[in-house]
Amino acid sequence: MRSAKAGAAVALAGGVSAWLFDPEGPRAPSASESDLVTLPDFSVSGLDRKLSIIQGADRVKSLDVALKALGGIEAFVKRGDRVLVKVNAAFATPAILSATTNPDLLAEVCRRCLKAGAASVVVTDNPINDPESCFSLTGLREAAHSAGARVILPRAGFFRPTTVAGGSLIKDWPLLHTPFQGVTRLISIAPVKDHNRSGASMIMKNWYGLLGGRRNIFHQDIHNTIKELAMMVKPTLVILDGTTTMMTNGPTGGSLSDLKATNTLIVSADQVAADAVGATLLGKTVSDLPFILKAVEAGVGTADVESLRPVRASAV
Amino acid sequence: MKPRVNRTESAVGLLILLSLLGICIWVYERQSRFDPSVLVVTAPQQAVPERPASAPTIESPFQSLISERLSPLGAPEQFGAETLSEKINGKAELYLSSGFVSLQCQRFAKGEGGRAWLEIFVYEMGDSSGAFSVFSSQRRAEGEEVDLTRFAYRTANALFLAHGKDYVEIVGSEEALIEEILAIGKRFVDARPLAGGETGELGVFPPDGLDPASITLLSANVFGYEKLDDTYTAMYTSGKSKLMAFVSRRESSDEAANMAAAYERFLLDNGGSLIESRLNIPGVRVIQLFDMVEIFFNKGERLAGVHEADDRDAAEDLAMMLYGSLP
Repeated sequence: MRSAKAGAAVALAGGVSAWLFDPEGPRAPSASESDLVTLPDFSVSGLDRKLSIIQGADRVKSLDVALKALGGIEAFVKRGDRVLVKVNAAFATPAILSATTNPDLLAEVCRRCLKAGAASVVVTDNPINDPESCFSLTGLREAAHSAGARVILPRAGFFRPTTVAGGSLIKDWPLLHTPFQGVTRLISIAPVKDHNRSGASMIMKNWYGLLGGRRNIFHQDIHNTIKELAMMVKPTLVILDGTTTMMTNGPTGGSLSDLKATNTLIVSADQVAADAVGATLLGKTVSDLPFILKAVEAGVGTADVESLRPVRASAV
Repeated sequence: MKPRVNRTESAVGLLILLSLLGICIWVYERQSRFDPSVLVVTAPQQAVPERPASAPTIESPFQSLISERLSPLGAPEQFGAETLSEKINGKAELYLSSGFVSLQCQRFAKGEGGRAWLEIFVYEMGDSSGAFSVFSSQRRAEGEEVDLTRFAYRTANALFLAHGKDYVEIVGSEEALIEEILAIGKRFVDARPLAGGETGELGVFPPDGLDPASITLLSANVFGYEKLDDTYTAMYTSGKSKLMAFVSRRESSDEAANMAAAYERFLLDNGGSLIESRLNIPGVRVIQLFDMVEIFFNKGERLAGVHEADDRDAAEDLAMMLYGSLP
């Protein structure tokens, strides 16, 4: 009798399990869902005024010095955190042209996050060119995988509409949102580049890669758009790579002669301050780049770099 | 005899059943939650659906240009005015303002593994002036002239040239590809003989002191004045002075005169002051703008002059030469 009851219980459990089992798994949220989304605040309380400016030609060494100066990556990434790294993978160009995030720097950041105990590190961007080619030909896919991180390529269903609070341009616009699900820390890594429309492409402009749709219309009011992008995202940490700067013909470049060895790595929790330092590598001031002052006025950060008491050091 | 079950055993049994129920509910809830770090990465090779997948069988427009050492790294792509920004993003405006018509491009790999590769870009502009405009405005100072067309130079990893109404870039992933790149450029030019007569305005600049490689065509918003377009500029050396001469051909002599008057108003509205001319040029304007001087005049269909010169004497000499060289 007992055996019969046990057998019946097992059969019942098996039946219910089979009934509840979903062989396809859940689907990504549909783009047709009209609920607006916003990104959470990924900044770490008390660390928002950190800035280090490191001189050196070796990105890995510069990163090491920069992070130590800020208390180590462990100050920003804790055990169990799920980290998203937003790279600039805009173009399907070789790494030597510096139009995209440097793969060695990406790999090192991912490794350090995982070493600090991050539960996962994902790398994403919505490139200008076809995503598959961009992540492959730039070397970013291989770099991420070699460091134990995962690459999430954008798909149509990954976008949800967003509106920037206090903004006037980014309204009900598709945002690359799905890769952020479960994420607790956000790090941006971008190169310093000249830009034909905005004058410079650095950290704040890098958030452009989170937008979907026919986003090129935003180039008509590029400075206010970059300001709103900065208002949209509150990162944990930003890494502005001025080891090699694209001085001319940005944002695509194309020739090694567009590049200059400026040997500077900027690591900060304040994205505006990082861009203010980056501007100097292009031979510009913050007044040459209206989006920086607009971001300051919007309360995103400060362009008064010295007020952050930056750590300046050499990694040579 | 029926075994007895005491209360403790019943409680433990109930606890186990409740635990199992809790686990079932948890599993059920978790499986319905989308986790991109798990579900996406299992299929990272998928393309973005809304972007057209390029069929590998599409015939390459560059097939006749490449050697047998190269093989396609992707299908050819084509972009029009509406889609150009999907390829070059923020640089699209530079081309659109210069009469852009279409872009054809394709990547080719050399050898196994695809580590060494190059990409050919052929921008069809509306006319040779448009091609020269985008060529000249992006010219790299370190570029080394190449004897392919009148307007061609190479850098360590790339070739840039204007040929008729085409502007061509061939960009390599490494410096070792440069010979392959130059060979492609030569085949491109050889396959498209020109009738001649392109960019005729280049000849109006007087040769003394001219840096021929500096000639640039600005298509829009010239010197910050939005009404002034299609203007050639050229750099001159006079002693220790560097000077910029400019020439803009208008539709008629009346329009050239109107543009000169409008440009004068623009400069005066922006802090300039008219000063007396020492030049024997009819209708010449000399405007002091902070520490610099702007000299310009209209002759026939052309507005011409010297822009923002630090050295007034040298600027006046160049203005006289320029006036003399214009038809």
